[in-house]
Amino acid sequence: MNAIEINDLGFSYGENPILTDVSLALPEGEFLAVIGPNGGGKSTLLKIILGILRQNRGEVRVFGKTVSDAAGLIGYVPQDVTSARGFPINAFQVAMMGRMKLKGRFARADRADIEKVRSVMEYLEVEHLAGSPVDNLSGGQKQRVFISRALAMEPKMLFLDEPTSSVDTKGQKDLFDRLRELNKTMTIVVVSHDLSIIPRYATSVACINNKLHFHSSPEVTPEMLRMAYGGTGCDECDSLGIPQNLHGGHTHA
Amino acid sequence: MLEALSFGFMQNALLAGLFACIACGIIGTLVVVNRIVFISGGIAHAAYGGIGLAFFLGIFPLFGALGFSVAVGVLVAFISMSNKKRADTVIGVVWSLGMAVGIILTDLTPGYNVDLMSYLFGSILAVPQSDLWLMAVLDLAVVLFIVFFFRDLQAMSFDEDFAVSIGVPVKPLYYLLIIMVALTVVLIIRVVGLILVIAMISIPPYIAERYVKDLRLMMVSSVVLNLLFTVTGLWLSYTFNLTSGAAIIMVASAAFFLSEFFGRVIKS
Repeated sequence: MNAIEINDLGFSYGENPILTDVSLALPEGEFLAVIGPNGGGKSTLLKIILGILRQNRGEVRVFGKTVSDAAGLIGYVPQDVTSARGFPINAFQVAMMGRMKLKGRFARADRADIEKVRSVMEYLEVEHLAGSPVDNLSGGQKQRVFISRALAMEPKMLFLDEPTSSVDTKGQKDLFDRLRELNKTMTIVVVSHDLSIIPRYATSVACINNKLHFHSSPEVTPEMLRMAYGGTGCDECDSLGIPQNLHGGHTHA
Repeated sequence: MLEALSFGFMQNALLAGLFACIACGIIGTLVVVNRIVFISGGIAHAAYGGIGLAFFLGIFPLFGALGFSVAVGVLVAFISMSNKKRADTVIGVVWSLGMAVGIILTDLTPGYNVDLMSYLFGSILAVPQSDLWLMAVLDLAVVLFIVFFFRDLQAMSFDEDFAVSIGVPVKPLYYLLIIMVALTVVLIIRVVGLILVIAMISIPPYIAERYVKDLRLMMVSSVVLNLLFTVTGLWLSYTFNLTSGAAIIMVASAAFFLSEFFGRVIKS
């Protein structure tokens, strides 16, 4: 089954088209790296798949379900982990939010929920911060708490929107090593500006700049690099300094 | 003060204060963490239009205020969701328009009603039994709302996008929250008056937020602080013959500045 299936999707803010004719079929179990320039529509596409934004046209299926039926299947780690500054809540309570959908409205959290949340926090090495107010955590710690929240959902797919913006180089390597481990049991989609992660971790690449170009490649050779970043409508390649004459050869998904 | 408690009006006043403090502490906490103090101010002042309308139609004033502020609340919630950037201006307009409507309708009502002032500045010492019943019902609505939706509200207030992604009905919940703010405003009008509503909604949660890092505890502490301010204010008002609503707000504001001052001293 495809984890994500998108057909002819379009989205615009008023007169301003953000995404045009986007189609994608992402098989289950992939590690998809999403690249593209700022304002190209990367986060917008994630938010449409998550049901936060609604497309103007086209269809989205997540594991064969409509977006609203698929609520709870995708663990979402937002880009801005500094949001809700001053909100009175501790790290454990944040991670516990991941259990909400599984528990329903009236069921109280039981031992199994607490164990699950403890174990994901342990896995991400933030269990010692469980009682700390989220406000007092560093950017990197906050991010790992937010990943704990997503994993507590026991999701079939994990979305991370620019997870490298709030961690240093070592933290980044740790994070991606863990994601590679998690990839054994779930589909992973990472929006990233850091192109060096692609050859090391990703199994496929999508470049988004209004349109979407998809490449399903297990490794990224110079040839594939050219294909992944090349093409009209994807400016990322220009900022990479890839010569214009190397463009071409990519498939429009 | 003890002898004062034997008076029926004083017992009513304390009961009214208790009802107002419960709703205020709970909803005020959500207002403060969701940064919708200005929206609440708009609803509170627009409620005056409802009181004017009630006088004009000759119906029970708090019912007028209730219907009007719920309607204004829904309108304001719609505006703030569809156009976040300009919402503050529109809310400002609704704020003044509501009051203007109230004044015009009062002008058109034959025979000036002195009682109108009591809705502006509160008249906790003159709360009739009928108002107490309405306040009890509104309180119950607020408490049920929070018991039923606490986790959803916590998720929505903390991280709206994530809440949507796990299926929390954020939009209806936001409307409900604003409607609860409207109910709370009507509850407090009797205690401190609509001009002073904002202080009772925002001061206790703001103080609590500094010392408490848990949403539930913040609600409970806000209720307790509100009760403390209300009883102290009532005592001052009784002893020194001051306007009760203003006395309550003076106590709350004094606590606010003390907390700010000592909070900063402790930090540094």
